[in-house]
Amino acid sequence: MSAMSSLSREIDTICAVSSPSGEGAISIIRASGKDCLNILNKIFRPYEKNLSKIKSRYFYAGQIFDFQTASNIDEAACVFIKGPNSYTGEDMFEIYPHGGIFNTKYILEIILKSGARLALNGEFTKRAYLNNKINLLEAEAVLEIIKANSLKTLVIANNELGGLLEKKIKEIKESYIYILASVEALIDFPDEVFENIDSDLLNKAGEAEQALTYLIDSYKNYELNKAGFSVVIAGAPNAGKSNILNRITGKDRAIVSDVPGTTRDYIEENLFLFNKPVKIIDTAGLRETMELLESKGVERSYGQIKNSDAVLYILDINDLNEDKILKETFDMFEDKKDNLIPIVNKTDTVNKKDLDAAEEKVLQLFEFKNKPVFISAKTGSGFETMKKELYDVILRVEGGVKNDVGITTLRQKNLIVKSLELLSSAKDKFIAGRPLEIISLDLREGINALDEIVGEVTSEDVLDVLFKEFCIGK
Amino acid sequence: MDKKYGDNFFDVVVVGSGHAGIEACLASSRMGLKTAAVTVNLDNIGQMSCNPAIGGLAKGHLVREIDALGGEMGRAIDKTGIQFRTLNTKKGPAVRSSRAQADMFRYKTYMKNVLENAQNLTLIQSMADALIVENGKACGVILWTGEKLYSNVVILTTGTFLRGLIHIGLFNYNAGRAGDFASNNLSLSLLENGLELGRLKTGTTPRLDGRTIDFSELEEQKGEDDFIPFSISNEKIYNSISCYITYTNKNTHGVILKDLDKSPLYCGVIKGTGPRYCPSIEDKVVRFKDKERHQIFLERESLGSIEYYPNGLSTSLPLNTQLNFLRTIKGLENVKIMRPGYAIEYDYVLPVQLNRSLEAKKIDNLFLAGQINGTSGYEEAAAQGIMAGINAVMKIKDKKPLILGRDEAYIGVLIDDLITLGTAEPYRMFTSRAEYRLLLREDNADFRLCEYGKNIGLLDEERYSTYKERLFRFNELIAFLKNYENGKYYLLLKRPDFSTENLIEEVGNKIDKFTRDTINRAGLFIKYEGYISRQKDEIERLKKFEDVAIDDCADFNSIPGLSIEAVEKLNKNKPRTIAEASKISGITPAAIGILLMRRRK
Repeated sequence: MSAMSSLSREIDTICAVSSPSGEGAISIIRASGKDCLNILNKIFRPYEKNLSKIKSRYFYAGQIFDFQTASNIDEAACVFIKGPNSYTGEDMFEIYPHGGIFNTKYILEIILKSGARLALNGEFTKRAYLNNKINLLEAEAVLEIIKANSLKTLVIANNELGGLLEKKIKEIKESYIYILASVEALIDFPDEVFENIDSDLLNKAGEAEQALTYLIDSYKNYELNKAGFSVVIAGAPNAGKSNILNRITGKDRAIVSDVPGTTRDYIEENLFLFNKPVKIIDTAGLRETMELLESKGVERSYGQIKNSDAVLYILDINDLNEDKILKETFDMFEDKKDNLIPIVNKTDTVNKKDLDAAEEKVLQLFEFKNKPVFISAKTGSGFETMKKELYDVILRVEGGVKNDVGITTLRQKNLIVKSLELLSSAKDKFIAGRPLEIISLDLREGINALDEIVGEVTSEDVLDVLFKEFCIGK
Repeated sequence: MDKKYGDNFFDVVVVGSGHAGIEACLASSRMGLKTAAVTVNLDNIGQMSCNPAIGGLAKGHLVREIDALGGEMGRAIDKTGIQFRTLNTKKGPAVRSSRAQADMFRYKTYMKNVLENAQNLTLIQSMADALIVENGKACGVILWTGEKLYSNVVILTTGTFLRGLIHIGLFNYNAGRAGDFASNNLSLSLLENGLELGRLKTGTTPRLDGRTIDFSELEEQKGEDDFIPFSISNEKIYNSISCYITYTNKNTHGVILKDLDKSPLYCGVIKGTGPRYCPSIEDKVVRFKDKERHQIFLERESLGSIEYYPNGLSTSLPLNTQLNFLRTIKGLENVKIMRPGYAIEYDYVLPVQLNRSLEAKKIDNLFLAGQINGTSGYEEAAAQGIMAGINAVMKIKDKKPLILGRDEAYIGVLIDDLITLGTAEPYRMFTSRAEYRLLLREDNADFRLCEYGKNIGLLDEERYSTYKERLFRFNELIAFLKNYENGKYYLLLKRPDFSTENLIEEVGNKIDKFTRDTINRAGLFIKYEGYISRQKDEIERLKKFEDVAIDDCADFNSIPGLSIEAVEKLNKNKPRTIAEASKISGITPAAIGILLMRRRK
């Protein structure tokens, strides 16, 4: 049994450097397992005189003692945490030596020679899971937090860790159990009269289906977010979108020409806008066209706008008539209005007087939420303002995600999809009047799929609801 | 006094002759062991203290399983029932269940006759006051008259008698049930021998004078004449009465609410936990305020009596209140009460202290069955009774106990739930408790269990050969359907819209040698085959774990790596297999891993 071999490792003591590799002010070395206290006594000499034994949750300063050479090798602090009230549920210690590369590594080696072994990737968290300190969701959340690359993904992952996702799944499970309890009530209490049980059951099923669908959709969003904050450059053909992309990224990424419609498909570039990871997407110009290839490109542009977090809408300063396409775009993406920044390009082609006139005209023609930014992709003027405006938008969008709850891994998504399919199948069968014990089977499997995400359900849970919600008994 | 085999020394002593005690003493005596049945009242063998009925949802399953093992309950109700019905005919074939109204007096008489005619069985009217335990081994009981009965095995089936306390309003008195003494001393003996006890409550309805009920306006519920008898040995049943349905109303509820302060349940006099699925009428009125009416079935208790049991009106309100609320109900306007409804509190033994064989973990050769284990219902009691009886014999004969799996029988589910999860309220069987209920149907109880019954030497030749014949016919029909017209009808039967009726319409003349029962069984088997194999796969997967035994005398304290919490729980529950351990709440996957590892060494 291969599970056995991995389980046999669970009770030994593991150790790893928890701070990032490289030189720093302080390193963190962490250990977990039953030998922690022994090891610590062997390698750590606290300054505190007359210390009879190291106490749990106290911060000690002292020397790291190398028993191989019988000498102190580094000054460090340490803390011992007695299990089960620790992260992993086992005895743990953390040592904070100076942040050098060599000394950190050497201390780790001493610890390994004292009976610990090197931890595998994620093993501390795995132990926390195996010892019931955290559930699978929380374990996944920890991983997602470490990998998070934007406030939005961080908030979603932290909401997962904080139990908001679990709460949401539990709510769905409650509906599910209510439905199952209804079915079981109909089976186990054939002589009882249950009023409205059919319609209540179907309503609950509808609610649960909706909630499950929401979670499935949330995964798509999360994946997009993980890819970074996406900014779409859109606008009429030949407004200079590709030039702007090239200048922002500092690369000649997009082919530019004077021929409108040069960009037929979108082009993506990842970069940091100040400290934010951003994905910038150059799209095909928006216009009505009969040409097949180009119209496909236009279609995709709309798709990009739909999935984007912010839009830089590029206008040509020499062509500021009310843009029909822009209006349509506006109507199509009502929810994006707040995050659309109008960019008026090619200021290098007009004089100061025309520029002032253009500014007024833009404000007159369009009701933008954000102030238009005037730039020249050719000279680079206005780019800093544009970046700052965009940065503000990013902050605003991210600020609004506090309550975002979603699923974060493919594993979760697959289980939720499975659960939804089973629920829908059960609902269809119920409407079709198929045997209730078969419907119950679907529902139970559907609940199991949800449980696989979080915890466990027993038939006692179903009975609890049954007796609480339905008047039963002869 | 010297021990004399057959006089004061027996292989098995069974204390109690209720539904559990009957099956226990019949099993051990029929399997050839000298058995004594001790009961406080020989006139009340097989007494139906509550509802005069056998069967019901999931309970019908239990009765047929008991029958397939060689028990008596099914035969008794087939012979003494007065109305038979199949429940859930519209809900789905796997959850169909049989229920019968019993003539409770004829049922009792029938059972007493069976016991009196059993070989190897001695009947004794007395009360057991204490266990005799030597070296951790039960070896008899002390009777209240001071005499001792010695035995190799003791089976306790004391029902609600242990420190039984009856409540009618705020009046209460000691009794095992209305009309019988309580057993006040045995609890102490159990405690002294290290068993942990709890306290439960159950209740029953007033009994009504049928001459004072007006049935003319009430809905009538008739029996079914094509009902399939509970027992393999019976071919036909006879319906002789109908039941009647009426409802409570706002006035009923008003009377009840007004007098709640006189209810022992609501003023804290009753401490025991009652069953949630069988709440008293006062409970229903309080908990489900929005419900305007509750359904009541009026069931006649016997052809030889006019007493009626108003099913749905269990109550411990004062007699006066009982009469007042009854008279607000349609048909009962002038009703008279012959016996009051009451609640009863009693001691039970926490069933997690038992092995799967129903033998106590702490006291060898002591078996417990029925309500003493925290269950409720005649069928649940009988199911444990027969298993305790069988396993007492196995123990004496030094053979492996008969353990039924959760995938083999509702009896297996029942015992597994009790010993691994325990129960805090009277435990009743539901089909929803069985994860493999598509497999555990009433119609295949004989296919599932008759071989076991035969192998242990309990099932008689008559029932066994009937089962063999049915099995042969069933296989013949399945083979025919698989081959006829290239299995066309076999495939058709898998479809939800093609029933056995359709089958008979289309190929009736080819299968007319098969009984309707065989055709239905085959149809059901084919229809559910896909689902059943899905469930069987799951069972196989879990079996791998199930079989991993934990050393009997394992000292969990000495196992390194287990948390204190885990050690405590493991010591308390003493799981025998890894699967059992994993069911204990609070036992982590890591702890299971450690147990697995240790076993390997």
